Amino acid sequence: MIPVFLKRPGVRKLLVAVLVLGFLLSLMAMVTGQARDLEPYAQRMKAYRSAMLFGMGFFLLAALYSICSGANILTFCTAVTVLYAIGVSFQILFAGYEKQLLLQAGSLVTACLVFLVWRRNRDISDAWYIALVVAALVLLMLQLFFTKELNGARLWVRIGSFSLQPGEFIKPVLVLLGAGSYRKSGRSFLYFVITLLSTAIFVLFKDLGTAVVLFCSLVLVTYLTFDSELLSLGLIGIALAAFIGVLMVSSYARTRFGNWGNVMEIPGSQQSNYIKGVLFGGFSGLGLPHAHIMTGTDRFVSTDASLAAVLGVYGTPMLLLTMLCYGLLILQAAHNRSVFPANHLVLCQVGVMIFINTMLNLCGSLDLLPFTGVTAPLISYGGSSALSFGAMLGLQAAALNPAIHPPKRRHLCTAAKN
Amino acid sequence: MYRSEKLKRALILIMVCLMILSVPACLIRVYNARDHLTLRDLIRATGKTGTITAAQGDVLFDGTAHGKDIVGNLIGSSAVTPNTIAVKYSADLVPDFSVLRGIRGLEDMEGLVLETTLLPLASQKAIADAFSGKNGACFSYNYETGAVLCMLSLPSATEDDGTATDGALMNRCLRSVYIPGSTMKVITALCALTQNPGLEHFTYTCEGSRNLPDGNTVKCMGSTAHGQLDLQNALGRSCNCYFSALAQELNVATANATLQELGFGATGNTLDRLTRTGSSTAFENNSTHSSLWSMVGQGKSAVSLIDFAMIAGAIASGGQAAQPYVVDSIRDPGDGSATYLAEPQVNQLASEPASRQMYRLWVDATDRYYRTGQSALSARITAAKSGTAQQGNGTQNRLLLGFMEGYKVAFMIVVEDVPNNDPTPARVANALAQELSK
Repeated sequence: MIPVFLKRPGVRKLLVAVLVLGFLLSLMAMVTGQARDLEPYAQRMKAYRSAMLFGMGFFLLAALYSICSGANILTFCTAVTVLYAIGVSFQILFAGYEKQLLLQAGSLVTACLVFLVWRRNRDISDAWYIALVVAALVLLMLQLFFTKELNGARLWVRIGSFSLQPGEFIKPVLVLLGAGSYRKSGRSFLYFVITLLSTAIFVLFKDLGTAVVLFCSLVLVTYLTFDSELLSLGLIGIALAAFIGVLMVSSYARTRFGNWGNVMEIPGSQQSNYIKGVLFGGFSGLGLPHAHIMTGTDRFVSTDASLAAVLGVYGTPMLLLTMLCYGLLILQAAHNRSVFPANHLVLCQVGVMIFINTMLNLCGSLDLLPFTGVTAPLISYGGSSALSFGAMLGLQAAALNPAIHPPKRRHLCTAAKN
Repeated sequence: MYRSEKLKRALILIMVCLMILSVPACLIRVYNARDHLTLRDLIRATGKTGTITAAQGDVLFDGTAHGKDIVGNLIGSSAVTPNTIAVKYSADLVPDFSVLRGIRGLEDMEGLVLETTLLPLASQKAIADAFSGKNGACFSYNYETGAVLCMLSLPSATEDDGTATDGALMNRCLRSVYIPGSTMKVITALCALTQNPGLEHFTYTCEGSRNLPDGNTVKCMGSTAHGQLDLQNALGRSCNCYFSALAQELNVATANATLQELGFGATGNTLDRLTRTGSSTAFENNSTHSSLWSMVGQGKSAVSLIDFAMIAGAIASGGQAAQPYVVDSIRDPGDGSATYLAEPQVNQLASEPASRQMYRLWVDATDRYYRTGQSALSARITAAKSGTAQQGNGTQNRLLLGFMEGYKVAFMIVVEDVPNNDPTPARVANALAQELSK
């Protein structure tokens, strides 16, 4: 039951104004907090708490607006903006911030470009599908033949002074391939083969996190496309068998799983350092001036353990806000009113990828799950990750675009019956 | 797809709930790991900790290492190696870490006070200065109570950023074993007297070198012919030929049993919570060069300063010697209550008759041969035996084993890479005696 007064255009405009104002105030508070860290006697905790409260308030208002108005695009933008703000402030601290700021901005640009291209699409044409298949195969070729080994894994391709991760860019490509496979057997088969092949390749190249993400997306699309629990369960069974086989033959995988739950017995390990850093921070975090206690010289804290670093540096409330934002993005898939299967599949796949990346990043770095090394969307350092998730968010925004929806809200069930 | 709409929504809600619940789950996991925090971690995070002091109150460590160029590799520093007091006793020093407040809860914390048995820093510095810049180690302890007075290992310059001079991070008293040189003759003599007190009168005429049954040769330093010697004079003159002949008189099984009681071959040794390496030798028979040479002081003998000091202490006190300890107590500075108190333990290392017999011989030999010259020993040093150990790489170490009965102190000193007859070990021993007299 939506109060009548909230349906008035004037009230809606007022709410939009409040949201925008709240967003600006949040950013100002965060920037103030950053600047105050340069002052030795600044009351930085007040700045952090202010920024957190503004952010949470903005988030709650946006959620209320979304629920009341039924338009969820604004909520989506709110969550994304908060995540970007956290990521930017984080990367300023830990990474070569000029480069990462550029990449984060590039991520937003990518999201906007993808949104503009995709916003009126209701399905994927054959030409587009072929182009996506070619793109997926090119990325797999890059992964197979052009990646160099670094720290025991082959994930990066060097092109001049740049490096890119084919494993990150293949995610949005496979999302579109999956989206375009609904009720088209030929496309479904292609998607199935390419995704399965990709998963196997990334397992071989010891990028277990990406392999898990792609496989879960495959299971989801298979289930939604073929409407067959048996097929999906069969895929999961095959994956479990393959997993057991990998554990038996790969000492690398055995080491990772052997350490799971015992990282504190391995002094000096990355995960034990992350856990200790969170302990040192207590409930309200270490704060930016003491962030070095957690990060030290470990560069992976800004990628594979970025959510653990958010917890350790900014404290529990900020991590909770971050997870709420991610949860809101995933909830879009539940509240979406898209009547077009392609968009529907885009939303589901993006939601699953965000979920798995977030859980593996946070829980893996704090020893709740085996450590697999995946980035946290929009927060972790890394150009490939930023651009890849920017593209997926653009797809999600396009799928939520109210402009392509009929005036009356319809459920998919109703549309199918009609 | 349509019939699974409810299932899809349920799965999405489950995912969102899992994401939210992952936060408290992570907090619980982190909370359960709090017992693994060590002093090293807390120092790294806060720069603050409890306090480690010497016996008379000198602060050796309070988050910052004091005198780290003297005792850094024993006490520890902010960038510390694992086998130091600061790390091994970390949980005892900082027990009240608040998970909720984190390091902010430690801002006003003083921590507990760990009192060691060590001499004041100034005394240790004086002993360290006697090394005259050379590398080496000095271990001395009270053989009646077990209190360790000095456990110097030089160099000991440890930097806060983890860099250090080569070999500075490891305490040689704990982790190094040395070829004992002629100091091994004290042990060989003790084995002989334990087997047969009459071997005190065993004589041998030294001609500077001696052919062994296996065709090898044992030589005295510079092939000096010492003439006819008994045990006391052979000990004083450090005659290799005599002691190789004496070793041939030993019953292998009896000698090995004595060596075992003296601590040779023991594994898993510790000094308080500090890991230390034990002594070993290879007296497999009394005819081969390898075995006999090991009982003379070279060959396969490798000894710990701590073990040898304990043996010297046992000789001084009728075969009994206390187990060394360096941590005397841990107290709350507020009310003085102790959370830890050392419990001295005395063991019988050697037979009493043999020890007393050895005591007499050793003291007489020292008085006759160690009171004059550039390596003259202070009168406070009751008995001592020097040794020169060839390292096989062209260098040699000088060692000195002894005890001071007036202070109930036994000691073992090693100075690395010095010429033969270098007087540094004697200077270090004299400095030790001087500091003990204060």
